[in-house]
Amino acid sequence: MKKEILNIQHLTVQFGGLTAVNDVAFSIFRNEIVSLIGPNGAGKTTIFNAITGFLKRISGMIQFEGEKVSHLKPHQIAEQGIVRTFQITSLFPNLSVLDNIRTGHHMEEKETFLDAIFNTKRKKRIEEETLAKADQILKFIGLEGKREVIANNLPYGEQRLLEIGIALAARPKLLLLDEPSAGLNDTETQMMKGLIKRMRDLEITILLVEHDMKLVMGISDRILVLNFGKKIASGTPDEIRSNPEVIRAYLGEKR
Amino acid sequence: MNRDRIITLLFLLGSLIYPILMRDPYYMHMAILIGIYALLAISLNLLLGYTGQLSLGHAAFFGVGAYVSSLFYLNLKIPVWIGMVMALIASGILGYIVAKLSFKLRGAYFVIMTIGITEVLKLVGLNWVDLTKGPMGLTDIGAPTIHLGGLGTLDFGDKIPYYYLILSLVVLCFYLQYRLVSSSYGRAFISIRENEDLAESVGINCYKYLVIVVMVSASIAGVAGSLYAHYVSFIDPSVFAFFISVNVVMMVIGGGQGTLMGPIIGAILFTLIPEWLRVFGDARMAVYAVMVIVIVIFMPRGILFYVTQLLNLRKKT
Repeated sequence: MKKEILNIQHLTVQFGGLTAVNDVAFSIFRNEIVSLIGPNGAGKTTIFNAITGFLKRISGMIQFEGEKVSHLKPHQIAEQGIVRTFQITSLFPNLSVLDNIRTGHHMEEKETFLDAIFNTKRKKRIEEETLAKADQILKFIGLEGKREVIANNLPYGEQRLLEIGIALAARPKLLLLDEPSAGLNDTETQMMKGLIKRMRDLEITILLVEHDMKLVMGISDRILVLNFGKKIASGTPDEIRSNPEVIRAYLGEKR
Repeated sequence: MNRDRIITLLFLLGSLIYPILMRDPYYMHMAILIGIYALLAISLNLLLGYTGQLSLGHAAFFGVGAYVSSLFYLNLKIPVWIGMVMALIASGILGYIVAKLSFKLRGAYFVIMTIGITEVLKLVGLNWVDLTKGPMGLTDIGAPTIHLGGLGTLDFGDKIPYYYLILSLVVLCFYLQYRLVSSSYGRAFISIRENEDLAESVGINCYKYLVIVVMVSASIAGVAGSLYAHYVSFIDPSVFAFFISVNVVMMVIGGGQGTLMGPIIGAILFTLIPEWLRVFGDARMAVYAVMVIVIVIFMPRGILFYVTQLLNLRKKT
């Protein structure tokens, strides 16, 4: 029996008069890779923002592991285990690769204010552990050789990997990836695909917004299709490929 | 031992022997002012340099520290030390209130809030005559003393002991800054400056850390105010002056925001430069203003950054 991890009911988001997301409902099951696709402006990123608490006024219900999370602030949602990346490359630009990851580790065991000031044994131990964990993640995303490089100076492809590293450092149960392959070349996209699969092997559930159909079709267990803020289809890659509504949404009406 | 550490220790050594080399009271006076400004600059650097939030109202915390400490001393005749602790607590609480109120919104709102609070406090200082004596100010604010048992009393009313008192507090705050910045607190502060949305999405409660940083920053500024009051022994509502806040911002940005030594270097330079410029007579402040503009245009990352770059270049070639 598949266990539900995220459940969304009647999600509606309005910006002024515009309904960006209109009564959307879906579920994600543990350890799935689910893709959210649709033409530009379909509301994919808005759904991400709604799930992760970046939008204040939403209506509907978002449940994570059986608990309502739709009233929480972004950092509280991260504490629950939902972590996201952003569509536009989003790093701590002036910090080293290592410090980017260490910052991502913020929710791990933390020293108290007094530990920090008096540099206690406990603080030193925690710092060492954080360092070890950060190194593991650097190895996982393949940036172990770039520890001390300032994030801003990394090539674009590696910046996108680092973004995922930061998210991983926050120990997500559900990871929301917003166009991770945007701007990557074919080899880099292949690497990203491999990385996403390896993350699933770590028992991380993945919700993906992506425009690269080859990637989406090759990796997803299920696909949800949005158009004008409404869910128009959901199913396996094969079902989606042959769904007439999806074809209409992407290619337009036959005359 | 790395280079930064050696330079810091040399700095400390220099400050320790400074009174032996410079016995002239004027030079001691300048050094004490630099120390007080250094505390203010460290305090603002935590906020501006690390979390990226601009406060144009650090004089508020400075002034509250000065007044609280002086009033405790004058009205209750309690030892100055307790007054200083009171100054720290009072400005910390003020910082808490300001942060709680203003960080629901970010950026310009916080700046405006800090300016507003300072102006309000200045008006309170001017008009609550029963307590503050208004524009007449508070006089005869004593300096702290330590009873050394049979050896007599160490009176900090003299410049040299006071210099060492301030130096030790600067060292203490410098150390506090260093520890804080190199902990997970520091990483949380910096993440707010670098990318607040990303910080939130990895579970950093930015609001909480902003409140913490303002409280720490305000407390240090309050201590600086208290030290100022007991040094000059007279204060009036001009301790809330806007130029104090601006001066401190200048020191932090000019010296090197978000660096450990930057605020100290800024405090030294921007206290001394106006003094050196006395040769220009009435045009002094105008020349100073031009210098400030030039520094900001050509060294936007602070003097420390460019000096370090020069040193690094020399090492490579």
